[in-house]
Amino acid sequence: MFTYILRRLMAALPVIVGAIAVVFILTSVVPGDPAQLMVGQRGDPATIQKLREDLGLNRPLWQQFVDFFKGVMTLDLGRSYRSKMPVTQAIAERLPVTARLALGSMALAVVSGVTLGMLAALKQNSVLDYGSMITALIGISAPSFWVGSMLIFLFCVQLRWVPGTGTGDGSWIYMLLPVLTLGMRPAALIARLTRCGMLEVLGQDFIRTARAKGLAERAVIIGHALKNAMLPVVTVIGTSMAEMLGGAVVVERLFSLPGVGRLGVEAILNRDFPLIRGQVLFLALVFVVINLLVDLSYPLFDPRIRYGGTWRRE
Amino acid sequence: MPTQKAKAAVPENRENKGKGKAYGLWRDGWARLKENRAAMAGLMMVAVIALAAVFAPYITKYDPTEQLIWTRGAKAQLVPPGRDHFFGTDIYGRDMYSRVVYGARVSLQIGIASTLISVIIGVTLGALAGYYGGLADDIISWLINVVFAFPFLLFVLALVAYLPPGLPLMYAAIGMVNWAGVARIVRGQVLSVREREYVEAAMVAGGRDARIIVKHILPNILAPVIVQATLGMGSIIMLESSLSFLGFGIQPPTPSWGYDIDQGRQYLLAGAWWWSAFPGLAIMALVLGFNLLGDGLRDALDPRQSGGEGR
Repeated sequence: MFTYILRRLMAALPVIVGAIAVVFILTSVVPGDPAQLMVGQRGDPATIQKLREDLGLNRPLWQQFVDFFKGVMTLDLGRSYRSKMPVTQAIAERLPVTARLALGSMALAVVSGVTLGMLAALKQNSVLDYGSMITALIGISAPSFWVGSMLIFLFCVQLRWVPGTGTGDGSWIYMLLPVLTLGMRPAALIARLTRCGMLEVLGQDFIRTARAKGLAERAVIIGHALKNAMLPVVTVIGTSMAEMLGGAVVVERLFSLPGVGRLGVEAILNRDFPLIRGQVLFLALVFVVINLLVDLSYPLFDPRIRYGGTWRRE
Repeated sequence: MPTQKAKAAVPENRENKGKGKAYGLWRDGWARLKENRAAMAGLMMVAVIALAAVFAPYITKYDPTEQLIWTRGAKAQLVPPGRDHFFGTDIYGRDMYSRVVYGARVSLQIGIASTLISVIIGVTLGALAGYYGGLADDIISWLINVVFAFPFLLFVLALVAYLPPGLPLMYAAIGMVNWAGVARIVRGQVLSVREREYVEAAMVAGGRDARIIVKHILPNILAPVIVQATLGMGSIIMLESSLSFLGFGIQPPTPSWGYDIDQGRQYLLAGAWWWSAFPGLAIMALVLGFNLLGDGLRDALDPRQSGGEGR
């Protein structure tokens, strides 16, 4: 168990270093001069020169990378070019909205996805099975921003059940539609995977054993079948979390929520390079950490990992 | 017990997978695909939209960028769906049906071009990693993991932001991110195919590495690549529409589904639901088509992999 955790931690390190390097390369070696881009075509040479110095662009590339790496290690990602605020602070200010949105959507996705998937598997080939799987397929195929727009039209414009977009007075009702919009896709993915996993598990010997030894059906389903079907679901929760951080960009724009995603779009529109760089890096790091947590949660579901056996992730 | 039925279907598929006969996999695969109603529905959806895109000028009455307000005045604005305008018009009096049909061109173009780029990069790197192993594998696997560490949309968004606007650069940006999924699958496949006797025989016979990879290994891993590419088309089309929705996609007035949804949503309050609704339905139909087809292809060509998730 301990070696498993240690091994996972060690495996995450090169990915983190790689992510830092990719963000650096992406933002430094690209054709064109960031200073020029930030000032625009009509900037005078003196301003551009000054900006190049401020951004450290006139120094050798390797030195820029060392500085950037050091900065990341000390949580100093530079300052936003536009608001002059430290990038870390700008992200931290916007984080609570995105965190609430993402966690709410994930909770909704897990509860509804696992329930639907489980019921569909237990009643295989029933109306419920077909109905929920068709819904799930549509959920995977429909763009979230479009579903969100239609939800706004239905619930805000036609029915007037929900007040509208923005955060309003901060009450939960304003988060309802965004959470629904963002959670739809992971819910559909989880429902499909749960169904698939359950069907596979239900046919196995240990389920028959559990039934044969007289366990209540509910204990067989929840304790034996569902638990064993959860491994791929846990993996997809990790990847969906990352997708949602990206998807939050779209949903936050649609519902005018002041979150990290909108900060990113604003940064790109303003060509605020330090902010873009910090933002992309931040989200990549969050994703690596989420995946690490997912990996670390595997032993909870699979005792083979707990007792030091080897287990392939893919 | 109903669950037994699903289990029994798997070994049956495996037996059908012809190993001895030439092209057996493809013929059997097509036979299996034809029987899969969902996959056939997916194929139909993709085919209909692709044909509409190709023959767009012949099946539309209006030019997608023609603003009817200049000739017909304000009564051409936000016309609800009807006989003259199947999908209504937007605030400039442009025919939404034409825009949806022409919008398919942009989506399919980006989908196909970006998929080609990611397949080329992904197959090359994946094959190198799987065939040579060692340091090459370590470096390429590390690169794959690093790319996977970034949220897809955000990574492409950042790339697009740094690049000058233009279609080819958008293909490149999407391809540069999307290759990792292909590479991961190719690497795994090459690793297992490399150990087969016929590959060993080719090595012993003194075949050059490049020839062995192209002649003996790649044809045997084509099926999972096709499956991945088909499922990838769906996510790329979704990605393109998200970029357009955020205003980083194709420059207007070229019709693009994502852009029209964004424009139309601002008139939802005025009750003009059709402006957003139809481009969204089009995206959904095309993505759904590719997803159904991809799932079907996976079951037909590669029964061992069914149930996994494509990126």
